[in-house]
Formats: sequence, structure tokens, C-alpha cells
Amino acid sequence: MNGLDDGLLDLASVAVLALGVAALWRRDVRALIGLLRAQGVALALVASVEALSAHDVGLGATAVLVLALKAGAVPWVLGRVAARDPGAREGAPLINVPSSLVLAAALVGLAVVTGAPLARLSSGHAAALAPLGLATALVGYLVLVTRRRPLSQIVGLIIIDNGVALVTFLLTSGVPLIIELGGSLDVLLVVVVSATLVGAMRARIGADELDELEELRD
Amino acid sequence: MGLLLAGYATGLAAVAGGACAPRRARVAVAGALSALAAVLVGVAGVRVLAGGVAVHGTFSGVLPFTTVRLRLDALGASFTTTVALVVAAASLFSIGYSRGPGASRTAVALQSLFALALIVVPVTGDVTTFLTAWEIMALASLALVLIDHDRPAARAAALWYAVMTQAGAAAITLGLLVTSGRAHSTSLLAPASSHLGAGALGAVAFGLTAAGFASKAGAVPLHVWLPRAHPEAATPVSAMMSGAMTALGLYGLTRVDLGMLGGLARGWWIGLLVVGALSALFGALHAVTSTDLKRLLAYSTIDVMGVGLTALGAAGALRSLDGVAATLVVGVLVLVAAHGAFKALLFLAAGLVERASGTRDLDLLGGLARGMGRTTALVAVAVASATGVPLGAGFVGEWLVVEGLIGALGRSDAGGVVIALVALVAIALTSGLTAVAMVKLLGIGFLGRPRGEGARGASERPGITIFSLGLLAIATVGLGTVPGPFVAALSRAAGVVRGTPAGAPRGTVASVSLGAAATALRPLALVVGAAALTAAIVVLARLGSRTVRTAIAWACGRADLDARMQYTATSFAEPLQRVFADVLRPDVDLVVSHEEESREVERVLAYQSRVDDAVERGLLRPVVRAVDAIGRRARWIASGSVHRHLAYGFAALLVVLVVVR
Amino acid sequence: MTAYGLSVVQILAVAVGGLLLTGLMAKVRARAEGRVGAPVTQPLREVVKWLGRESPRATGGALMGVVPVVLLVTTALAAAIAPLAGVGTAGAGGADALVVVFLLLTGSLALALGGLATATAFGGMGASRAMTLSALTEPALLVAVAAFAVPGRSMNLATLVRYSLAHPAGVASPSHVLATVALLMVVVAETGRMPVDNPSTHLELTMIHEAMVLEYGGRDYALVSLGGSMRLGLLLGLLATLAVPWGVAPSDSVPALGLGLVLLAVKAGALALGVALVEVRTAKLRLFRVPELLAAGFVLAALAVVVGVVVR
Repeated sequence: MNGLDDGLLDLASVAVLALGVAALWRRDVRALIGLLRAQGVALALVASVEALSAHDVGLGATAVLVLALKAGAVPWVLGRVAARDPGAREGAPLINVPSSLVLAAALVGLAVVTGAPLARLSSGHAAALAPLGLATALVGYLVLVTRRRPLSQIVGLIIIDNGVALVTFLLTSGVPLIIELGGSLDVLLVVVVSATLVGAMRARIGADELDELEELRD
Repeated sequence: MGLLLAGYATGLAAVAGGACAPRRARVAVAGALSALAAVLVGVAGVRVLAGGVAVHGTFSGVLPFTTVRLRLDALGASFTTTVALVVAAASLFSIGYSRGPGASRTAVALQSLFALALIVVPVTGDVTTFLTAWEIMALASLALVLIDHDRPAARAAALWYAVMTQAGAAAITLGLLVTSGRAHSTSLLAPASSHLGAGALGAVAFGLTAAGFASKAGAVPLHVWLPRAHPEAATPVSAMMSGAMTALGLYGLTRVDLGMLGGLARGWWIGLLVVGALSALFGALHAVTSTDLKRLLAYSTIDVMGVGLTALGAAGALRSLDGVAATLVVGVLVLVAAHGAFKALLFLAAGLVERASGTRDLDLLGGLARGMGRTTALVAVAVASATGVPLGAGFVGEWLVVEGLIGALGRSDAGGVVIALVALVAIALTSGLTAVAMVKLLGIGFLGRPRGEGARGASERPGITIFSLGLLAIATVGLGTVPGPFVAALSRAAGVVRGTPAGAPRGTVASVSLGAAATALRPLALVVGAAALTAAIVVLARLGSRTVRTAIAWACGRADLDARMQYTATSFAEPLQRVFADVLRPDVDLVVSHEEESREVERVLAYQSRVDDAVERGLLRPVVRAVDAIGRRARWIASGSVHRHLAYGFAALLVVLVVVR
Repeated sequence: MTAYGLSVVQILAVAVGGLLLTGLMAKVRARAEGRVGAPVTQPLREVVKWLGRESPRATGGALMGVVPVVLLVTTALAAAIAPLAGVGTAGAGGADALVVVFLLLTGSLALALGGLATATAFGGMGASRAMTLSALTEPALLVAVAAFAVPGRSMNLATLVRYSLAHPAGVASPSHVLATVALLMVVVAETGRMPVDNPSTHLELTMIHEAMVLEYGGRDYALVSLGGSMRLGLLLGLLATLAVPWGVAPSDSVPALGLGLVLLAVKAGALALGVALVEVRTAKLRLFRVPELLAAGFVLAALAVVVGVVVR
């Protein structure tokens, strides 16, 4: 692996994390979907840099798959759901935006400190970046926990998945194509199912903020 | 040593003078002698700082059961000079200021005793002497808070203070007992290459001493006494409490915890850092929202001390990094010196303002610049120092601390980087908030137009009060513009702290340079540059128009501008109060009453906002209630029956006999 | 060229360049809105014109004469020591990043005090808002500066730029990119541009910076507005220098310094163009949404530092 590859890998991995953090900042649902798309591209870039440097065709195919699913299909499905409710915004998240951003910074710090053993699992430049994937997953979890809209929560879920994928790409230079295929398709399935659910809910009760739904349980 | 002893003899003479001198001369005699004592001790401190040779002496027969050991080394000297400066200025100030209950025999004698104790504490050489001086300092200041005991606020403040300071002293005593037991020595200097901080006992010693010292420095959640007690004491006393006594909390931490407890686990230092960061932010936020002049200053003391605690915590946690810990410790020492000078100045000025205008409420002040021009100018110097304006003393301390932390970022492991980053962020936000509080203090309190009758008629008389303020201002400016020699001396002081030998900051007359962050501060060059540029700009401006016309304020077309249309302290802080509403939890009342003819026309708008101490309300009140409940339950133990009490004594005697044998 | 000469040149460049950048940004906005707009040199001409006018001063008048001088002196001092066209400025040895930051802060403090001194509601409002934002900006600012300092292990700006010139690949490192974006957000807030503050608004209730200087007139206003523009020029120049140091002359030869000056103008101009184009497309944020922007800036800066640990 040469210096240029290393540099690209650095930039792409950090981009995955930074885009995840940005999801905490933006409220506009369409902007969130845009962030997901960009994150998918960055993740695919990580995979393809790894594939090129290892001359691994299977990994290359995985990169294409990631690009198609995470930068293509998933955002597309989410975009369709969002299109039915134009101008949808995350109103008041459970933790306000500045606090959740500061919290995200803390989580990244935590991930880098606790993820140090992760970086030692394998030698080489890529493995050193693995804590970034862990950080991304933690940030995704924060999105999942603090946001009220189901669509934003799905975004959080996908960010977690992207973080985990980043760790696997960096540590193992890619998992076998079939496993990545399975994982990614699972995510797509989750997205499609929950998107349908959101649509149905909105059609039935006209609201989808989770807090407003609490009384349904009674 | 001779200088020191002369100083202490003068201090004792001051106490005697306060107690015995006739009514008219009392204040002047005691104040002058206290100031002289502080000057003598301060000169001894400066000589040690300049020469670097520690002086020490042992005296038996002064205290019963024990010998008195005095020891003035570089670390002690750095605190001694700071404390002596504050004590000298405050004592001089009291000559022209004290009257009424503040000039009673008790008050004057106690104030001299407090002043004496303050200049003894950093010069003590062993645990017993230290604890004795510490306790005299605590009790004298407690009594001084109670001088005005007719006011309920003073009694409440004294109660909080009594509990906190005595609990703190007890914790320190226990901690020092553990430490000296392990060291087999009562010296306050650790034997070389010892690991007094290692193991569970080391942690216990650290926890006890750090809690005790940190409560003196107003650390959250043990800070509650500070914003009550400091404003309630008489002005010279509050200046000494804020500028000198809190600093001694940091002295204890530096001397005992950083200096003696080597081998302590990193986690404890991180704990101290977190406490410090929380205190700094808490103090700064409350300083921003306070409208009482002295309360604002007291909260700002919590904020500066919090920064000091943060830096000491970071120094402890990062002591393996060359230069970082030394830079941080020196930074704290400079910060303490700067804070002593500017905070004492501000407290003394607040006293003058209160006396001249009859109020401490910033919402009723304003426009003091006209009647109290000198005070305003001196306050401006202190404010510049407090906000981190380059060439102010506060900047030098903050600069050293921040550079030390940034120096750690590039060289540490991941854990160290996160530690340094957390400290850096907390200090940065604190520094920003402090600037808001200080701009509020100067801009609302002294500039603009008077908001109340008292402020309109306020005036000042030149005299010893203004002189003592000027003294502090000169110290502030001197430290800010020529910090090099002081820093060089402090770098030797940092050598007393374990793990900080290499890479300490270097100082010359013109510069302070750091190995830790490979950079230098050249304040004198900045002074020259600023002078040249000022000249150039004034000349440039003179090329244009020279006409200056006094006009009424435009104010977007309102001609009938009155003083009530100005921003007040409350409104100035409102945006930040709103941003941090989740932390501050303010009580906001907005009362609107409408005209009878129409609901659309508002007649009276009353806005009131109160920021109570959320820590006190949420954490300490429940503790107080719980203790209270236990106390009630336990009342049967002490029923008041003489026989029962005598029986307790008898039982205790039997137990002692059995146990000791 | 001597060190002092370079410093004087830099001060003049920042003064004139700041005014021209202000004009450029106004021009871009006008063009984007379909207007012709005033010429780029308009702010320069206005300052010269106002310099010749008498200064009306209201209550607190003496301070209104001092504030512009403090603002100008601190900004000019920062412009003199910072490496903008070349690293060999007078006082380069003391060109500490924190000193520059706090010199600029001193200018803000002076402006805020001036606003309060006028005893008007708007002056106080501007001062309150400006100080609020300045307090909230500080963590992002210091951490971003620290992120730039980490690779070269120095807070001295001249040393940093020299290091950066010797290690050109560092410019594309993730921490550098993140720190640049964070610092850009800080600069937008500190210079009072959209979406934080609208420099061209006429509605007093939405003002921040302008509300503080409403009472200034004539020569005083000329100096205050020159100070504001210099601040813009200096911050954009510094950001450009830190982000892309190429062109800053490491030696004191006149051609190299000339090239440095030209490249500085190009870089700062490009940045101003970018900021102006973003301004056209964004609406002003509500005051209480600005903390979100600043928190985003802070988190990017913190990421820059933490990522620097992982990627090295």
C-alpha cells in the first residue's frame, strides 16, 4: 500500500465518521438522506481502496455492492417515504442539538480510547483506523436514541451498520462477498419494512412522532 | 528567616493593636501593622524566589506538645508573595474603609489574625504547624463572616461556611495523618523516590486531602459556602478570602497531592480534572447570570479556581510527559498570582461602589465612570486581566495552561489526548464566559447611564483606598507585561512537584518560552508594537477630521431616551441564560397586565428571573434534609439527663481501658 | 526586506485587502441577486470619505473615541506578527497563535464595552449578543487552532507555517481538512457574516455587530468600520495561510514576498468568494440556533484533534 492509498483511506474513513456526526446536526429529513448517501459513497471508497491495494476482486465486488445498496437503494427508498411528507424536520430531539453534538465528541473520544485494542488486532495502516468505525457506530446509536422521528431513527440504524461495516473493511480487508451481501440486504429489508410501516402509520393516524404514539399503547 | 520572624511579630502586634488600641487609632494601627507584616513576609518570599534557597527554622515551646517548623521554599514563596500582596493591599484599604461593625474591636483584631494566618500557611514546614495555621485561618474567617450577625443572610452564610470549612479541615487532617503515617515523617516534603500515593491508602489520602483543599477553593459541589460567605464578609475580608484564602486551597493540592503522593493511579487525577472543569463552567455560568456585584465576583472566583483545579488534575494525569506537567503547574501558579491581584482589586472596588451608591445590584448601577473615574479605570485594568487580554496578568496564566494542554495533544497516547482535550475545551468555554461576566461587570456597572438614585450620586475621594487599588493594578500590569522573571522563579518552584523536572517554561525579562508547545510569549515586544501602532493610528485619524461634537444618542430615532431603556445586567445575560437553561434552571416570571379597553395593549410588563444554585437545590439540600432527619431520630441519645451523659462518659472510659489495656 | 518592512506591508495589505474583500462580497451578493452592485472599491472610498467628517459622540463619548483605536491597534498588531505574506515578520518569535486569538478578542471586548457605554437599548443588545456568541465560539476556535498546531508541535504561527511548507502532504490529511472546515465556521461567526449575522441588514432588531456601532459617526465610524474590515481580512488571510500555506515566503527576498502577497490575495479572495456564495444561498439563523452551528464547528475541531491521534 503506498502513501496515496493511505491518504485516501484516511480521508474516506474520517468522512464516514464526520458524515455520521453531521446527522446529529441537520434536522431536515432530506438532508439526512443526503448525508447517508454521501456516507455510502465514502464507505464504498474505503472498500475499493482496500480492494485495489490488495488486488482482491471479491472485495472490489463488495465495494460495488456497497455503493449500489448504501449510496443507491437505501437512500432511494427513504427518499420516497420522505417525499410523501415534504418539509419534514426533526422538531425537538430528546437531547438538544448542541448537547448531542458535544456528546458525540465525547463518544468519539471514548471510542478512540477504548478502541485502541481494536487497532492492534491487525498490523498495518488500515487497522489503526478501526476505532473510527466504532466511533461511527456509537454516534449512530446516539442518533437512534435521541431522535423522535422514525425516519431519523432508521438513519441512525444505518449509520450503526455503516460503522460496523467500516470496522470490518479496515480490520479484515473485507469480509467474504456473501456475508456482506447478506448483511446489506438485511439492512435494505429493515429499511423497506420500516419505511412501509411509517407510511402506513401516517396514513392511519396522521402522525409519526414516536412520543405522540405513546397513548396508543393504552 | 529574620525577615519572616519580624513579619510575624509585626502581625502579632497588629492583632494586639486591634484588640487594645483606642477606638480612633484601632483601624489605622492594625491595618498599617498588618500591611507591614505582609510586606515583610512578601519580601522574604521574593528573596527566596529570586535566590532559590529555601529558608527554614524550628521553634519549640511556641505551641504546646509540638515544635513549630517553618519552611519557605520556592513553591511556598510563590504563594506567599501572592497572599502577601493581597493581604497588604486589603489591610491598607481597611485603614480608609473600615467603620461601623467592621471597625469594632473584635472585627479589627480578627481581621489582623486572619491576615496573619494567611501569610503563615504557605510558610509552614510540617503537618502540625500547617494544620494549626490552617485552622486559625478558617476560624478567624468564619468569625469575620459572622461579625454582622444581625442579618439573616450573614448567619446562613456562616452556617454553610462553618460546616464546609470544618468538614474540609477534618478531611485534610485525616488525609495528612495517613500520609505522614506512611512517610514516617510529618514533613510536608516527600522523601525522595517514595510512592506515598500508591495503593488503597494512597487513594484514601488523596481523596481526603483533595476534597478538603478543593472545598477551600470552591470546587463543585462543595462550593455552596463561597458565594454566600465572600459577599457577606466585610470588603477587605472578602478580598482576602477570595484573592488569598481560596488560593491556599490550590497550594495544598500542589504541595501535598502533586508534591507528595507519587504513584497515584491516573483515574484520581482525572477525577480532579473533571471536578475542576465542572467548577469552572459552573462558576463562570453563575458569574454571567449574577446581578449582585460581590456574588458575581465570588462565582468568578469559583471559575478561576476551577481552571486551576482542572490544570492541576491534568498535570497529575499527564505528569509522564516532559514539560507538560511543569508548564501546567507554573501556569496555575501564575494564574493564582494574577487572580489574587485582580480579584482583590475588584472586591475592594465593589466595596467602594457599595459604599458610594448604597447598592451592589448591577441592575441599579451604571454610569459610575463619571463620579468614580479612578475606580472605573482601575476596575478596567482588573477586568482586562481577568478576561485574558494580552498584557493582562490573567492572560499569562491562561496562556501557560492552554499551551501546556495543547503541548500534550501532540505527544500523548489516546487517553492523554482525550484528557488534555477535555481540559482544553472546559477552559476555553470558561474563558469565553468569564469575558461575558467581566464585560457585564464593567459595561453595566460603570459605563452607560445610572439606573438608580444611588448610582447617580456616587462619588469617590482619592486616598488610601484608591492607593491600595492602584497597588494591585500595578502588580497586575507588571505581571502581565514582564512575566519572565516571575515565571523563571516559578519554574524552580515546579521542581518541588514530583514528575515535573524537565522542560519547565523559561523566562527572561522580555519573553517566556515553552518547550512543551515550542512557542514563546513576548509581551514587551507587544507593548512596543501597540504603542507604535497607537501613535500611527492617532496620527492617521488626525489627518482626517478633528472635530468632535457632543450629540444626543441617536438610538434609532428615539430622542426621549432614558436610563431605564438601557440593557441591564439581567437582560445582558439573558441570551446565555437561555442557551444554558438546562444547566442553570432559571426561574423566570413574566407578568403581563393588560389595559382594560383592549387585550392587545399591554400596560405593565414585569420580568423577573432568578438563577438558584442547581447543585445546592438538587444535591446538597437532600443531604442536609437526610442529616437533619438522622439528627432528629438520634435525639434520644442526648435527652438532657445529666445521669445519662455521665454514664456515657463512664462507658467511654471503660471502653478505652479495655481496648488500650 | 526587513522584518519591520514586511510587518508594515502586511498591516497595509490587511487594511486595504479587508476593505476590498468586504466590497467583493457585497458585489457577489448583488450579482447573485441580479443587481449590478457598487464597485468593489466602495468600502475603501467610504472610509476615506468618513475620515474627513466630524464625529458626533453621545453619552460615554470619551470611550467612543478610544474603542476604534483599540480595535485597530489589536487587529493591526495581529496582522503585523502573523505570517501572511512571509514568515519573517517583526515579532515572528512571539507570533503565538493564542496571542493572535486573544488580540482579536480584545477588539471584540472593546466594541462590546463601547456598545454598553452608549446607554442605548440597541448598543446593549448588540454587546450582549456579540459577547454571547464570542463566548460560545471560543471552544471551537481554540480546539481548531490546537488541531492545526498538533502536527508541527508548535503554537508559534511562523514555525507552524514553516513545518507545513516542509510537509505539503499534510494539507490533505483528514485532521487538517476537518480543522479547516471548523475554523471556517468560526471565522464566519467571528466576522459576523451570514448565517450568523447579516452585515447588510437595516433592521436593528436582528443586528449583532452593527447594533454595537450604531452610535458611531464620522471619523469614529470610519475607524470602526475599517477595524471590522481588517478583522475580516486578517481572519480570512490567516485561515487561508493555515489551510493552504503554499506561497507564504520562507525567506525575506522581495520577489518571494511579492509572490506571497499576490498568492495571499488570491487565496483570501477565493475564500471570500466562497463565503459570499454561501451567504447568498442561506437564510440568517435565529440567534438561538447559532449555538448549533458553533457546536458543529466545535465537534469538527474536536474530531480533527482526536482523528489526529488515530491517523499518524
